[in-house]
Amino acid sequence: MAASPALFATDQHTQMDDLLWRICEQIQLTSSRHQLAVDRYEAVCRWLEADGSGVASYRPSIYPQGSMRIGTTVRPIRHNEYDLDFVCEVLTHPSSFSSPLQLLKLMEARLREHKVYASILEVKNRCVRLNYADEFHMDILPACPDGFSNDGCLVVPDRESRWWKPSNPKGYADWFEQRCELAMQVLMAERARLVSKAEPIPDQEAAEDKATLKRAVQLLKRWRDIRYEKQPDVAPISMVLTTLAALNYEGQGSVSRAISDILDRIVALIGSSWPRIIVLNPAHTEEDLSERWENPVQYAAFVTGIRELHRLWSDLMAMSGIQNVSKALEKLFGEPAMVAVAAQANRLQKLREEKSLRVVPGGLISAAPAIGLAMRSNTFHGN
Amino acid sequence: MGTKRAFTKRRRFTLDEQIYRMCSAWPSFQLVRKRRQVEAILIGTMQPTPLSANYSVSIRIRPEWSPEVRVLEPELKPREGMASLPHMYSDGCLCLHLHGDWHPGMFVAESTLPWASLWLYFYEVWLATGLWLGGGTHPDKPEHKSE
Repeated sequence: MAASPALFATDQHTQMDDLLWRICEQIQLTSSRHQLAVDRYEAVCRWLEADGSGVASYRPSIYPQGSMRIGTTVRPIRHNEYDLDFVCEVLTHPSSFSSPLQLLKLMEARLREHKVYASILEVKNRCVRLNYADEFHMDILPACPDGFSNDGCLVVPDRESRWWKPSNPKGYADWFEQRCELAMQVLMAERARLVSKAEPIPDQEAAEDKATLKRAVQLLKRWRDIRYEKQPDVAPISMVLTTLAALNYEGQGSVSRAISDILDRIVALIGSSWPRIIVLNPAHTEEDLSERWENPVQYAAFVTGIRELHRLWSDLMAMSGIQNVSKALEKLFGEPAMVAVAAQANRLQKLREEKSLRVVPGGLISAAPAIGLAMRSNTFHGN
Repeated sequence: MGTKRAFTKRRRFTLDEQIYRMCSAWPSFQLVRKRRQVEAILIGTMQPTPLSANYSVSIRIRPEWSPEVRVLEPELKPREGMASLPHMYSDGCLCLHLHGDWHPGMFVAESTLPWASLWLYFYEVWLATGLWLGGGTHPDKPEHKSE
């Protein structure tokens, strides 16, 4: 995961973005847990492919989908277990199964032959879940190519309807990554403009710019978890929030600006959409991701929540006083806000100890070299 | 007067030199009171970080004494449930340095005021988190790190 943006420029968005990145660092899957998840799904895949496996002849492959694939994982607020989603794709036409459930049952039966998997296995509507205590659970969704196209479209068995449902996790992830790439395009255009005017080009980490949309999505999902904690049935689903954010993202490098603009546009869209916003799956445009909003109660809960967030976010952008900012961030994102404020202060204190701080007229503390006055050493004293 | 003494004795800035340096380095500060070469009080504003509040601050300079910094607005308040502020004297001046950190050969514009800005940042963080993360010493607890 990329580091947070540079500290303490003279722009309030830079300092806010540093806090927001630090919040995301706390809520996302750590790189060690991420690696553990990769190791585990690879082990599951080897078990499914091994000699004697009833699934081996269908040539299964397992890969991550959803937040694990696109880098927008968010730790649930009440427990420590992440929900990680995987696809187990078999290279077989759906018609070779007597029923969609046969594929799900085959995979389940093979996993039950494994002593450890059998003890942590749980069967869900469309997937088999492996519960790794206190870390994460892996939902493994069996799938076949839909047999018509070569663009990643799959069908997955649905236990309730006893039929196949269309899906395209790779196509969705590719689309999302393209939206993330907008940041690079905006950055390159800005650089070209500066070069043409012979102006200095600011130093920016390309990797960070590409992740701005991911951070915005994580924060929106975290807000959702907290805002709808007491009414989880009407909480907007992750896929809808992710898609709406990505559709309304315009390549901003700053996560706070990106969220401001995304919320402006969603609120405007609510005003111009009657009776409701329709969020289609960009990788499978027949699918209405927001079909739950056909229920007016569900849609009203989303509209109320997002308008409230829009207002709180505008207030936050105009707020001064770290203590006020911290309180507002805590209301939106919970306890990681305070930890982020402390981490930012620790970073500043470290720069102070390294004698890297300067002060510009007006009192702003800066770590940028060659501006203002060097900060001399001192030790705060007294009661 | 021997040259030896001129090297061993630190050069002390006069009140006028301190005021001149203040006004050039901190343009928002204005002289509000001056008694001959004895005392000057300047008032101005400072904002420690872009997300911090803007504070109105007074600084009292006396050539032979440590400068005194007070925050005029907004009023400094302890956290809920706490009686006092960390690193503050009972008369309301900020405790910005140990005795040896400052001497009259330093410009207050380049030492005391930058320290006040740091202090205000760590004060806001303390209000937010309950932790004094700016380090420091304490007469009762020499290794004091947090409040």
